[in-house]
Amino acid sequence: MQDFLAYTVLGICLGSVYAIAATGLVVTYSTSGVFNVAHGAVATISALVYWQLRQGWHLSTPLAIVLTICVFAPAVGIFLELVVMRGLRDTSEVTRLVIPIAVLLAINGLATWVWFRDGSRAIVPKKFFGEQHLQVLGQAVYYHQVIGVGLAMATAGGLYVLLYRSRLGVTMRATVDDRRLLMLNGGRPDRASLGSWAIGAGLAGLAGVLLAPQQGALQIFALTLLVFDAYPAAVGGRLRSVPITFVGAMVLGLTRQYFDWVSHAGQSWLALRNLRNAIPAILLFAALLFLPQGRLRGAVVARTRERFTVPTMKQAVAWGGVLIAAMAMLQALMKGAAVISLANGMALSLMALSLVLLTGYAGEINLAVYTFAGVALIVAWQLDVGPTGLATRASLSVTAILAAMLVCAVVGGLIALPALRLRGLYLGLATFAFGTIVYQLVILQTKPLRGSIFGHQFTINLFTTGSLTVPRPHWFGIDFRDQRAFLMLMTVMFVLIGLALVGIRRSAYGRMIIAMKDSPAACATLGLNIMRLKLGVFMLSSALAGLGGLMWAAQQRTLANNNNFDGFASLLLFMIAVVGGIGYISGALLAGIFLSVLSVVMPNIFIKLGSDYPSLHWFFVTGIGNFTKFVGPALIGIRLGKNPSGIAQQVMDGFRPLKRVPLGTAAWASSIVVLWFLSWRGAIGHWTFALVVIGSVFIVPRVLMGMFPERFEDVANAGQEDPDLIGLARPFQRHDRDRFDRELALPGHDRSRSDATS
Amino acid sequence: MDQKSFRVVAAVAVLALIAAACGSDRTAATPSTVPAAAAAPIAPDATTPAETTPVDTAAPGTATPDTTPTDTAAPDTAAPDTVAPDTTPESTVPPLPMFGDAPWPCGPGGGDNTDDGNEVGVTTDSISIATGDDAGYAGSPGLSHEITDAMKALVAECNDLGGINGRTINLNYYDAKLFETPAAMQSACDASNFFLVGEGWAFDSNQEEIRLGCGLPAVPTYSVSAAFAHGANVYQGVPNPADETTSGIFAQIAKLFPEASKHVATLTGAFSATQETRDKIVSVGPKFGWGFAETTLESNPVGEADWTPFVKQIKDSGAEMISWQGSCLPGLLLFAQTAKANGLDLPIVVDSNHYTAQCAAANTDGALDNLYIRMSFVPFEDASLNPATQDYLDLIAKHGGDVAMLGAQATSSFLLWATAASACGAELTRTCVLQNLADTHSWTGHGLHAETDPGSNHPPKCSSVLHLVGGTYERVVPTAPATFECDDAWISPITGTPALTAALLDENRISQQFAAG
Amino acid sequence: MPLLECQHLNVAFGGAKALNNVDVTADSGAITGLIGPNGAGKTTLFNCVTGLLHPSSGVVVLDGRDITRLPPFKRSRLGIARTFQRLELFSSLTVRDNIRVAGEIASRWQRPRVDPRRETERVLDLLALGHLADRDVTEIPTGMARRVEVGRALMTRPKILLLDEPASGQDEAETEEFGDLLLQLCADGIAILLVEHDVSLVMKVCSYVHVLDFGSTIARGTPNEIQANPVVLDAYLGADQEP
Repeated sequence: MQDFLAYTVLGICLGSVYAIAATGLVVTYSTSGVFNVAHGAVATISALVYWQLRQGWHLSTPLAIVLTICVFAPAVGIFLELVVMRGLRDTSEVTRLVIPIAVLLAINGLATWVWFRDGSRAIVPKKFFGEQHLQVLGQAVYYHQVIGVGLAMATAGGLYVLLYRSRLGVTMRATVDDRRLLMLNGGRPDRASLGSWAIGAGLAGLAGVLLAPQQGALQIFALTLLVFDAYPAAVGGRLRSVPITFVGAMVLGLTRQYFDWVSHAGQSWLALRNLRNAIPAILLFAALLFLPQGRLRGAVVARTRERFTVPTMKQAVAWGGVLIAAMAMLQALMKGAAVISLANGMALSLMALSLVLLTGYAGEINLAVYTFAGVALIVAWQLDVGPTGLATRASLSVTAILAAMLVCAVVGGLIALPALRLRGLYLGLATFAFGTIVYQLVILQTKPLRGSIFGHQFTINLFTTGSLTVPRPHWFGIDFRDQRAFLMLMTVMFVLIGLALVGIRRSAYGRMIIAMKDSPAACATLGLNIMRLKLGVFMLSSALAGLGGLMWAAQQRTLANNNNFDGFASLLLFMIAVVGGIGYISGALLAGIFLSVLSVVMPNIFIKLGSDYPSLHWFFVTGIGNFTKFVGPALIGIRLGKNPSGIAQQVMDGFRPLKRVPLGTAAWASSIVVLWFLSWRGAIGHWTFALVVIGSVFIVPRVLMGMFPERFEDVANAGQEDPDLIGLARPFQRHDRDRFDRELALPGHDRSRSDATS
Repeated sequence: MDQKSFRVVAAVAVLALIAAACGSDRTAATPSTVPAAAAAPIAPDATTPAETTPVDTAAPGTATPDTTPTDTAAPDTAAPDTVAPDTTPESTVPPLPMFGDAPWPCGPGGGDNTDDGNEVGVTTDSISIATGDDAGYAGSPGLSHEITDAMKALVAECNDLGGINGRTINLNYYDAKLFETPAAMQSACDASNFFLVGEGWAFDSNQEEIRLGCGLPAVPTYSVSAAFAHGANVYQGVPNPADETTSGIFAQIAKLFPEASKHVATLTGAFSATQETRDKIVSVGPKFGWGFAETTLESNPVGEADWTPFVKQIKDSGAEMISWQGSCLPGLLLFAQTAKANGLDLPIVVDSNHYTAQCAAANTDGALDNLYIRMSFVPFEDASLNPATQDYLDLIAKHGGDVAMLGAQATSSFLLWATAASACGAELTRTCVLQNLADTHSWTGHGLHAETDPGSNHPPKCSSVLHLVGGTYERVVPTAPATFECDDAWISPITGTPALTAALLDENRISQQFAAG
Repeated sequence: MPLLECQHLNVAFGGAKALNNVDVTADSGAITGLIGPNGAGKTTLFNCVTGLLHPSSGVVVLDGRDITRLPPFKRSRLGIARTFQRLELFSSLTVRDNIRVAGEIASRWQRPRVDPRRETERVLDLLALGHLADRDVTEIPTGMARRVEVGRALMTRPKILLLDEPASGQDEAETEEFGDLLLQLCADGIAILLVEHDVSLVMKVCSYVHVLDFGSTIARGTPNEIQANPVVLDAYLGADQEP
């Protein structure tokens, strides 16, 4: 009994901190509709700032607290609202998730750069009042923890007063319901938004300062994950209700402590040892089951700027051929290590393809793509290696791949079920929670878990030695342990799957998926069972994620159990895929290339420069090199805000006009091939080849447009002018007539658009 | 907007393709690859570093680089003396520059180097070697960079002395960034390196297939996986085989704490590497009188929000000593603080990875005052009494960089390789160097650490124990500085661990796991 | 018996009553009008009928069957189709594909199946949208877009069509045509419940009209009766009517 009470006290202490963290999230969500994933990063950087003020510069505790929680954190919140969140208002759910991810990575990158760029130093935050503690029921309870409880209660009370008794609070609540109406009634929704972001960020900062000392030495991503643990409480409160969030946070804290008590800090059930770390994720699923059905929303995308055009099958096949040929040519030029980078990129592109279907076409969210890779790996392993096999000699079979895809589909279906009737964000959270659970309970599992199905022995945990060698295929007499061969195999697979996806997109099924994304409400009124369709798409996408993930694992050849399975890698992949242009196959390709080549090769360039010029090492490596790690994600977020359709769209728009000068384009393409040949033979250097090709990408379109101006009249003027001013600001041109006809929807003179797609 | 962002994208693509096209050919041109200094004949009438006895203190090691290069004996004087480690009675022969208790294995050689063109990375006047660390890993920037600091300094010194028999060492650096080991190894292979020397890549199981495929031999700073520790053509200054473990610590602790060591609780980070270490301890400890009260406690390596349950569990088990597998920061510090707050005050036995400046610096409140650390290297506190340690510190002080035990370990591996290479004389081949390495059965890194057997891949049978008090590490046993207690019985065999099983050792204890088959 | 019956529907948002004990019926082969000022609750009523909103009390009966508890997609499969006040088009698709996909969705559950492609062309013709068929649905004028929504709704071969301001954005000639189309549809047996602000259209096509204001029914009757009703004039037709 004494123990029970003692653990209850501990549970309340932990729950209090969770409550503060979760409430901050709820406050910002309820006034902006943005699930601010970066909330955890705000907590982390606030903890660092507090440490800097208190222990670095030795300010007094009260002053440091005020500066951190009442000045710095709210300032960050206001900055985020003004610069980032405000622009998210009319965007899709996906964009509203991706940009906070970018912000998260940017803030964490910034924090790494400011405090950790010179390598491992130990930042050890101290608790309030140091190690002083009370003895409560035989348990040491730190003053720090007691303060946490007190602050939680103060937060609860303060928020109640704010939201229900103050003008600002009423305005905040009104902003949720109907912004325009509020403005018409003299309210200031913008000010209310700023207020709520300031408060939300302040609470995040407070949570960070309270949580940080419990970790020992501060690790940025680990602390962020600790804050994530509080999110199930917010979900339980439907991201709106502060009281329920509080209750949920207490439940969370108590459950964790009780589990520790009952399992003796995890000792009792060895196989479930990591369950304690998976408890928040499990409770998230439970919360999802109890949430009421979401309202069918109407079209949001109609009012956004996201646009995806679709290639014809012929175009797709042609581009596929070009890709295979280009890849073959490119890898012939490259050295071994560069081929590895390229192959890594191709594997990531394969994983991103699953997101083209799920997120690009259906508008749903999967934040655990790497986890499906892990699931696929476990299944394929059983079939191809088995408990007694030797991974380094085994080869990946088609049967294993198909079985892995099947299992991934089933697993995907199971995860999605609780979240299907809810809005897309919850599905994303469910996948993230799933990722955490698999990571903790399966991948980090070191106790052997064996069983048998139909007489077949199988092993759940694979990473018993901390690392795992993954078999590669051996097909058509080719041993794909050869890196270049495997690269080409993955390229071919990418093209085939890409073609299949284009085929889906152009089919009735594809149209239905797109329709479901564009307006679920309309689809329901057409008799579509949206949940079934969503389930089907999610299962198919999971199967693809498993396939891509298996190829990725095989590409890595040897995996460590902490290699990308912890959740952040999936977030990054999702973000880059969306930025690349998730509605396009080429967007997936760009994502993979970007992640691999740019984020690996660019830092390598800086490292090489820093090594070659040691006196400038600081500048190259710690300066620019690390700087790009956070500027990168930040720029990505901003870019996506400006063009939600992604990069692929813009690249293709840049190239589209070239179709009108087929001869010129053909000549250019042939010259590239010739140059490649010369480079391959060594007649010209690789550098030269790269520079010339890229330079031509700039120059040739301009040249062609200059040489044949009459073919590009409409492009030259398109999108830049108000139709009302045609004839006034400049003289009429022939193509203007067609444009007017289009604008006015006049029949007869209308000609199809020059790049008609179906 | 269209044009502008198109340009941005194109610019980004430019950089990507350039980077891809030029591959990852990295040459860290060290400042002293210029061979001029080494070859210049200097009259031997400058200040002579008088002492040549190995046991003497700093002077020879430190004086050599910044005094006149009398030690780089001109090719036309006293030629045959460059290789001989023992001092000749001839007073006209200048004494050899020392590192620790033995001379530098570097010098101008006989000028008769041959090169049949078949040996990778070797010419008549140069050797290309590869090294690296995980410094670029985003999660822990600068990881293991002390290795490279040491390697660069050593190579610079060696080249100043003439290189390996007059062959200048070109040091190529590759950053594995923890998870990019295959790319680093592939680059090392592609760049035609002679040997891999002193590299420290944590995820080394991921490299073996490539390394074996290109036949690159290695003398690394450390190994993590069993496959690499038992890799073909791999030798280490301080071997770390998977089928044997150094067990002096058990005996020493049992002697220091005869009662407490019969009730040990293990506390391990939930990573297989640490879990494997724990399993080894649990299986070997009893042979030296250890008894275990609790062997299953595992903690979250990412961070525990609350260590109290663990403290409770240890208390309840009746343990009187704790054996910790993990790292000093963040886990151990916080655990120790929680333990102290809850009235748990037990000695904690840890491995040598807890001998770091950061760990000592973090012990501001004395929570870590119970730490007992196994050491097979001479601690820096004993540097004034141990020439090798002092030479290492001076080396880094001179060339810049950071000091850590990892750097000392890198030094040992470099000297091991350099000694073996130097002994090959004019005709330098991989076969010859590997043979010399295989024949080295007694190695102390010129006095940096306890004696090991690199040639037969045996860990040290010697051990010492340090104790952390406040911010300093104090010696516990043996009491004489820069010494170790040794015993043949202190190497214990290990069998049946998952890592060993996976490594597939053949009868020569060489791993076949990644051998092409 | 009317095809659709809404009985005593009550919907409240917080403290405000959006629908207050509203009764509305619609008969097969007839066009029933639903008019009232903005905010009167007309779209709310549609949402109740189609299932996007749940009334706090009251029932919705279709063809004698109580559908108040059914999810939206099941109601649609029983024969309800609608258009939306704020366009709910599939903005990623062309005009043709918007209509075609409705047919493809319908062919999943409809028996007997109809070939979506042929049906699409028929509906495009019916609504005079042929010349816009390949255009992106976001690039066409609003009036045409409303017709696309109607076409889409028709693909499910509904028994009752709920039209929410379908004529807004169309000029006089187009509205005239549209009215004829509606009359033709109801001659084929479909019931139509029409929310409209265009008085002439309402007068022309509706056989019966319900008038809502502030969530309550304030009048009902034939178009002529409504036109003369002083309560309605007060609330809605307002100062336009010369005494």
